[in-house]
Amino acid sequence: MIFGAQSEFSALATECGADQGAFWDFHDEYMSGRASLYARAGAIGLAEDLGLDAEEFTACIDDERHLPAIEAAQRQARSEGISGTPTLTVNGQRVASSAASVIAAARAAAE
Amino acid sequence: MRKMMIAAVGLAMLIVVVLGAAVGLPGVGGQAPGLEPRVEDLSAMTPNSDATWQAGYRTTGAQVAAMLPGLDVLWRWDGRRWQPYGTRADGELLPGAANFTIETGDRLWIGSFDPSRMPQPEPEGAVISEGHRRGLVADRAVVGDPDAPVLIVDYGDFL
Repeated sequence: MIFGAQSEFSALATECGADQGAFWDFHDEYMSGRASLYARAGAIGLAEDLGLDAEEFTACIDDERHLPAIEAAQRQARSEGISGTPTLTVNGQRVASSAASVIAAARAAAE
Repeated sequence: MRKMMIAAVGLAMLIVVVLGAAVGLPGVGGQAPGLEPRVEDLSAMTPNSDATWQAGYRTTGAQVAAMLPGLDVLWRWDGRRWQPYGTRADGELLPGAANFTIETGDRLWIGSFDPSRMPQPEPEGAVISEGHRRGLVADRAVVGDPDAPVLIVDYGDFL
């Protein structure tokens, strides 16, 4: 379900961060919208800032170690007709991605 | 707060079970689920009715609680019993709940209820023992309750 080069790289870097226990750190940093993280140097810098093994992290992203899993997710998403993120469904029905829409749909589905 | 807002816009936070790529879960005993779960389970009960609905959260309980109007007590299932985890006033969670993270549990109830009235879930399936989904229960290829009445799927950018 990852689309686009930046999205794919952020997923790759986050999975490499996850290898060293820093999934949520990477997730949150990418969600903060810091553009430099979409470049190799920026991601490595984040790994260093987090105190990770930078050499191992660099090897992970250079080897594209987690790319197969990411590509599998892409294929899965495309097979379900998903073309962008975020896409949300509630009981199989697509809803707008705002929190209010999801909450309303969830409440309606629960009633 | 800024991060919360960005997350709300950029990435859905309410998820019960996410179906995704066909990869295994690290740290799950026995066979790995065939689907890629993405987030943990969260249960919520409104204070105005006994209607139960389930949702999930992406990063912190505070984010979820802040989105739910009229709910004032956050309860956390610690694996054995429901524990009061935080309260909020004027729409803001008090310290404690704001620091909720994925590491602290896999189920939350939000509402001003006596916890003895709440269902006491028994984990089914294997508890993920490592990785960023540590502590979550994976059952029948999904994280959370496979029989949840509301299934919210978030297709996001992170596995």
